[in-house]
Amino acid sequence: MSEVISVNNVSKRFGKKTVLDNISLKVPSGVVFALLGENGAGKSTLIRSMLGYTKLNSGSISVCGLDPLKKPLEIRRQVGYVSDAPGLYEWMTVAQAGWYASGFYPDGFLRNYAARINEFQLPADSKIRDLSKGMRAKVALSLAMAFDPELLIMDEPTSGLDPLVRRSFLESMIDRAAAGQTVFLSSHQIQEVERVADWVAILHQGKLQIVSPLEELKSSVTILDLSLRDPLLALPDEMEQLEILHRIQKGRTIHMMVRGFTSAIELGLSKHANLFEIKAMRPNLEELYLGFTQPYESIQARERNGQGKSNQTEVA
Amino acid sequence: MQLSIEPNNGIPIYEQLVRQIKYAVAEGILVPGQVIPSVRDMAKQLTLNPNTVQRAYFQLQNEEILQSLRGRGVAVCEGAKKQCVADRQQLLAERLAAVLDEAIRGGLDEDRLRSMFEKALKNAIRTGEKQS
Amino acid sequence: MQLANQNKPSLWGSLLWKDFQQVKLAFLVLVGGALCLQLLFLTIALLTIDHKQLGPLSTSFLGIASGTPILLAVACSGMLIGHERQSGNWAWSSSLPVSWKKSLCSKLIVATLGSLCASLPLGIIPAIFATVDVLASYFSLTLLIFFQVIVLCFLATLLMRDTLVALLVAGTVLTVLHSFSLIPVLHSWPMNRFGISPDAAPRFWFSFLSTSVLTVGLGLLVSAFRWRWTYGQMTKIAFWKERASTVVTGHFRYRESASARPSEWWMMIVHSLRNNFVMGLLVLANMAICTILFLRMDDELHLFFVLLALLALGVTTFQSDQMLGRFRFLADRGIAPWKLVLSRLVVSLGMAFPAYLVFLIALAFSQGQFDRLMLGLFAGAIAFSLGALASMCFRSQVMAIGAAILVGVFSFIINGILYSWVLHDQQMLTQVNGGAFENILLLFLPIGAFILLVSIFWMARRWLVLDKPNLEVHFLWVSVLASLSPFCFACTFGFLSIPYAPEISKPVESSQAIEHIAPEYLSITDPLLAGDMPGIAILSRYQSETMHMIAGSANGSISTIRNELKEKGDQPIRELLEPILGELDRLQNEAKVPMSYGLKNKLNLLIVRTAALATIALEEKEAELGLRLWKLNRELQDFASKVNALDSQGARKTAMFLLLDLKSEGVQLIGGAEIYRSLVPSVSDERAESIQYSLAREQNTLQHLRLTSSSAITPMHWLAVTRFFPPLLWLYEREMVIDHRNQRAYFALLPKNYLTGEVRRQLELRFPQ
Repeated sequence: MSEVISVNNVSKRFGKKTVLDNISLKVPSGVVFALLGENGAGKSTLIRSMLGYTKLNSGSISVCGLDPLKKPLEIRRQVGYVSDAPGLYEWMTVAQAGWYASGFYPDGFLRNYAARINEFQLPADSKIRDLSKGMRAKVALSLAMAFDPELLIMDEPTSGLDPLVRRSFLESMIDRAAAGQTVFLSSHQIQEVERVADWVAILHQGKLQIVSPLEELKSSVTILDLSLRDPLLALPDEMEQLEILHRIQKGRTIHMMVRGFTSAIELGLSKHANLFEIKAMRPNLEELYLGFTQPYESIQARERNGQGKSNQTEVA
Repeated sequence: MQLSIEPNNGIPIYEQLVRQIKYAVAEGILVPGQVIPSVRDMAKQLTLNPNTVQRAYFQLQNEEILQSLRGRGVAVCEGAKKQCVADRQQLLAERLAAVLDEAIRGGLDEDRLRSMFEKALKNAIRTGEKQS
Repeated sequence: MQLANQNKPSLWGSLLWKDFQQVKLAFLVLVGGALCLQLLFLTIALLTIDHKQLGPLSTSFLGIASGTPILLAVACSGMLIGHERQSGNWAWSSSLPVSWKKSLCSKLIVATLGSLCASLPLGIIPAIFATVDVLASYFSLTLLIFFQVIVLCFLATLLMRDTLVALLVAGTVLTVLHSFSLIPVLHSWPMNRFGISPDAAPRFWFSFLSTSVLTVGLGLLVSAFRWRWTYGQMTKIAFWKERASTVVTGHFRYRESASARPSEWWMMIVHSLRNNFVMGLLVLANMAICTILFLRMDDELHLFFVLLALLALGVTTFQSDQMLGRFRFLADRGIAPWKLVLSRLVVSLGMAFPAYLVFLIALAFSQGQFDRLMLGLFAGAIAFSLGALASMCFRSQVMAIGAAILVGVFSFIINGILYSWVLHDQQMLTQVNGGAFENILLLFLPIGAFILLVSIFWMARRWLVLDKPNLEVHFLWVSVLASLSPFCFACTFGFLSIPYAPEISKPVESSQAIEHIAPEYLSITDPLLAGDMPGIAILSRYQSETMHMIAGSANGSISTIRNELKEKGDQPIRELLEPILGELDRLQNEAKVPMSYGLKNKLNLLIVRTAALATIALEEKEAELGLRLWKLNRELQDFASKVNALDSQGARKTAMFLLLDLKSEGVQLIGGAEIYRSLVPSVSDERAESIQYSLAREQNTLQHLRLTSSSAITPMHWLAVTRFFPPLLWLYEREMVIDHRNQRAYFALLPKNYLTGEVRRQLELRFPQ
């Protein structure tokens, strides 16, 4: 399986602010790849640099084997792009927008576009300015998909849209994936991403926290909820074997997100007198996201600065 | 056939799909020979990743619950019901074991547990008779 | 579905269609407006009886035809690049597989070819009236400016985020770049209305500068377009570091009160300042530059630019509110609409008014005329209010300023037409009393500005509250009302400014008049005229025109010689006499042979020149020289009437006119009535005609004095409107009474008639005290 998008050690600064810090990821073909991150994390910048809209300070990107800065036209012929604010011409009708765009693509565009418009039940003769936000998003999606692109890049396409429209988008994404094409998606809607994503990547403060297939991530990470009898006693040695990604202690309960949790360790922990309850669960994406965007090191730093201490003196 | 998938309840999605299809076969909602939606259609219907659905179907095909008909899709195998019922019983046994485990750990003694179990069993049979 | 079966367009087809659709409306409106303007001018030209005025009007046609493509170019760059970038269409279009080269070419093609082709209909009317070389020179100049405007406006809208600011900057840059070459070209142009400027140096410099601007600009444009199409889409070019909004509260710390809470008004003013400041500054800077550059010119061009700047400042009043919806912040907090509007107006007026005042005063000082100050002030007020109203009524900046300019220009023209045609044709108010009606009109001009401002406040609530206030129609009718109301008010209430004089004197009987004036003339007129009493009959139109021409040419010769004298410095007039005497000798020698054309011309010229020189000499109190010149003139006239009577008629009439016009001091200077009589040539047609003219002139004045009933006042060819609109009639009557009062003094000073030696008796005209 070749890579559709390959990002190598990419860095981007705006003035003094580092927006992307040494990002590397590879998107295999035929998957739904979700990029998660808070507002301002750099998702849009990364996506724009994939399309050749931003120059990078260092590193390189290749999309479909091409360099976006050198061959933007070829990339656009193979990549469909839906942004969060599609700048469609307000004075055009839905049909005219399709007709206009079809001039730049090979034959078949109009047929596909018409079919999709039909499917979405959009009125072909109304002007874009008279359409609601959801309908405009559907038009933008139809335009991006009508030429059967190998890669569909979507930058928060369903932000602010109602559930019906969001479902339409999801179904289209699934269609693409089922047909063997790649979808690169940046989104906030964690529930939706959880259903359809093959791979996830989490971007936080310009750094890529994790890139992994979702299933693998869910099976390798465990959420541990431990209840202690005496919070001041040290934790058992078995804990040293675990890679702690995230940990919060409130009084006599510890909520942790760890990697490498095996049944052997569980057995060992259960023998410990201080721990009277151990709950190990498979994490869902939301918990994973929260855990990865508040990594354990930052929590430790906060505690060192004296902010975390108060938590431990709370009585549960 | 109504399937509901909860992506965040801790059970892998493909596993949920497998279990629910097995349940449907065991209950008779899906009869042997019935064609179920293709990977693509099922994925669209449930808004799931097609690869996940593919994995579930693959596993079911391996367990000979589903078989692929060339050109026509995927259908339920002939002897699938028995297997599904057995699997379902296995699942129930596991669930029962987990409940009992929790009860014992919670400090319930055996006699109390047994009386609770008898009472629940009687109720279940009664409601089951009412339904059928 | 129909869509699926349509043919796919070609790439160029798509691009060109899209770009053309965007500018379609602007083309229609601008070209349509310009065409209407041209037709309007044409109608005026055809309706005025005086066809001599067609000459200056043809430059107006050409001006409109040349200005429109430039306006179209600006509109194109605003729509095709500015609007696309601001609304996000640019981002989407560039995400399609279109190369930047094709996109740029398509926009340039639509802008250049489209503008030029759309302006072709405007060339029809000028082609009829103007000559080929004028057309050619206008055409070449227009093309050069047009291409530069396109290149610079495209470049500016590419680099800057705000369309209007960008266009303004482009205009400023172009003006500054050409300030040293364009102005002399334009300056010398109107003087040679029907020819090309003789001065080659500024033309060369202008062409050179233009081509260099074009090449450099085109190169920059290409690279800027490419940059903005690919990886420069979001980059903002900031001229200053944008700091956080703490600058507002920090900068304007005014006093520390107990609660440290700013007053409502202060908050709103600061809010407004943040809205308009940059834009307003730019407009002011533009105005300052134009002022400095154009102040040297005598034309009204600089006033036009400054009024345009005032309009633009008015448009900045509400524009950032419209664009960014900032007023909603205040409206949601329950600020009264009128307060909000007032705070915005205060800020933009505060920027506009002082600058404009300074400009007006500077202009008045430089030209030495202060009477135009009030007119300038009121015109500025109207321009500003129009801009402010437009910015409230139109969501988009471009539409606002376009509508304001269109309405402003049209109302100016219509007012001009109303004023000059309706009134001038009736030959009343402008000729009498030195143009009192102009002053009355001036008095009522502020009404226009007042109406505009009031409607701003009136519509404030609707603008604030409604999502789609639809104020465009409102703008139209309010501006029409505001532009016509000063004129209507002036016509209706103007008569109140002139005091009422109910009594009109008993008219002077015509027989009495003749008795007073006629006898002297009658006694010396040619027997030819005996049968005709030229006095009472109104001069025929042709004759009056002829006399006008003679008077005109006489005055023209005098002024020519005066200019010559000025140029030659302190050379006394005597020195100019020598060559004339030499010429005369030569003429007398060559008189025997039939005269050549050149010699005839020279003779006529000499006759007129000696008469003019003599008049000037007598004005300068050079008695001896004057007498000598007049004697020479007499000799020349006699000589000419002998050898070349027909061709020298005009010149002799002019000389006679000048002689007969001599005032009493002049007659005294040359030595008295006897000598004066000897200077008048012997009986001839020309002499008779001049006498006839003088008589008729007196008659005309007399006719003015004959105030009888109102029906007598109204000549036959007046429009019916004054018959049916009493206030205009009352205005005229009152003005006439005042005028005649003033003319009484004139008649008390009737001169001696030096032909017969008698003093004309004073006409007794009875007027109420």
